[in-house]
Amino acid sequence: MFYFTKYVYQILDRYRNHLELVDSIPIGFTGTVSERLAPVVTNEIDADALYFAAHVNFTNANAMVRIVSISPQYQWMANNDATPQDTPISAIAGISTQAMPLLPLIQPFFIKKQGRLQMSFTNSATSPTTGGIWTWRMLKLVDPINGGWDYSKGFNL
Amino acid sequence: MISEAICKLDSGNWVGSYGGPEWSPYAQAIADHYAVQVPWYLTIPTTLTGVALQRRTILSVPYQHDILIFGAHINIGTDAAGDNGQLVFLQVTDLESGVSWVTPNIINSAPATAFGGSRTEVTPILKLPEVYFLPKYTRLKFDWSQPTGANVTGGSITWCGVQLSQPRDGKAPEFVATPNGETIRVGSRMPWLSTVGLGRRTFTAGDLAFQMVAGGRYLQYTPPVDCAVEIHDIHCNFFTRAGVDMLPNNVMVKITDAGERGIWTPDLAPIPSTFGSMTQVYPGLPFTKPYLMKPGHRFQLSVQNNNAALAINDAMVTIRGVRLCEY
Repeated sequence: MFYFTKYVYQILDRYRNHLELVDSIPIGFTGTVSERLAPVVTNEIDADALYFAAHVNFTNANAMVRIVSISPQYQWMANNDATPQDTPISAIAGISTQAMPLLPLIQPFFIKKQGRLQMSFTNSATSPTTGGIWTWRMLKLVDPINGGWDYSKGFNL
Repeated sequence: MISEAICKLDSGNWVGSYGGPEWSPYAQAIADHYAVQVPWYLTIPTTLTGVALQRRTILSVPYQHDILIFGAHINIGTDAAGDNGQLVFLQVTDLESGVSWVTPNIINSAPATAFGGSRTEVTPILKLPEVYFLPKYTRLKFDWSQPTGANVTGGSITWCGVQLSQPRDGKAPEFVATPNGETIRVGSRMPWLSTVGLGRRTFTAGDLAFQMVAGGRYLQYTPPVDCAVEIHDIHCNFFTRAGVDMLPNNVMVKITDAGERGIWTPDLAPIPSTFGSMTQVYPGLPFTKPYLMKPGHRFQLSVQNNNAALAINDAMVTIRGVRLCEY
C-alpha cells in the first residue's frame, strides 16, 4: 500500500528512528450547504515528520478541500482559476467505508518540526455533512543524523 | 521488451490501478534529477451546465515547475446525468506537442471513467498507464463533450501528481536511462487511449448513439496506431448503466491484434474477464504484461450481447496504453 521512493528513503536515512504517528483534526462542518469554514491546521509535532496518507470518516464526494503547507510555504492545489476550483476530498483522503480507507500520497510530504498543514474545507452544495474528522498518517522522524533532512539539502543521488 | 537480467519491463514495469502509488522506472528516473519533490493536485472543472450535447474546453495554466502526473480522480454527474462520468467524454491535448492522448475516431475522446477513479468507488484514483511529464511553462487542453446526449451539470477531474523543483544542472533532463541501460527522451512516453463504441451506430440530430441489441453480434476496430504502443489495460463503461446492472457476464468478447491474428482469445470470453469498470477494483483491467502493438496495427473487437432481452446503449471500450514515439 505504501510506496517508498528513493527520495523518501533518503529522507528516512537521515534519522535513526521512525515512529508511527496519527493526527486527527476535527473539521467542524455544521451541516450547512456550501459552508466554507475557517481553515483548520494539523497539530504541531516536536520532530520532523513525513506525511504518508489521509482519511476522512464521512462519505461526501462534493465536500472540497484546499491544502497549504505553512512551513514550508507551499500550495498543494495548483488550480488558480479566477473562480477557485477546490479539490474533492475523495481525491486525497480515503473514506471509512471504502476498500482503501487510507489513500496514500503519490509522494509523501516532509514537514520540519513545529510545521503545520492548513486545510480549508467547503461543504457540499446539496448534501452537507455535519462534523467530520480528517486524519493524517505519518512517520515521526526522531534522532536526526547531522541535523536531519531539509528542503535546502534536497535529494541527491 | 523485457530485460532478462532483472526480469523487469524496460520502462513500463507496472500495471494496474489499485493499491499504493508504485512509481514506474520512467517516473523514478525523471524524479531522480530533482532535489525537491512534493505532492501536486490540479482540479479541472467540466464547466458543463446541464445542456445535452454541450462541449467545453478548459486550458490549464502554465506552472513554474515541472510536473509528473500519475493519475486522476473524477467527481462527475449522477446515475441520471452522465452516468457518473461514464457518459461524459474527455480529450486531453498537450499544447506544446499538439499530441492528443485519445486516438482520433468516431468519439475522439474517452469516458471520464477511463481517466480517473470515481469519487467513492473502490479505486478513487486511477493511475495513468504511464506518468505524464508536464514541462514547466506548458499547458494542457481539456475538451469535455457529451456526444451521446448526457446533460451533466458541474463536476471535475483532479489530476494527482508530483511537483519537481531544483533540477540538477538547472534544467529538466533531456534523456533518462531505462532499467536495461537504454536511454529514452523525457516526454517520449505519453498516455495513449483508444475508445470504441460497441454495437450499431446511429446519428440523429447531433446525438451519437451505439446499441448492442439483445442477441446481437458486432465487429469493431480501433484506429491503426501511428507508432508503437505499449498496451496496459482495458476499461469499459457499461457494467452498470444509470445504476442498473447490465449483466456483463452475458456480454462476450474476442480480442485480436488485427496484425497478428494468431494471438489472443481463441473464443468469446465474458467481458468481466477482459474489461474493467468504474465500480471494480481495477477500472482498467490490466493485461498479464503490457502488450507491444506495432505501428499500423489495430485491435479487432468481436462482441456478442447474449442477454435475452437487454439491449445495451452507448457501450464504450477504452484501450489504455503508452505511446512510444517522439515528436
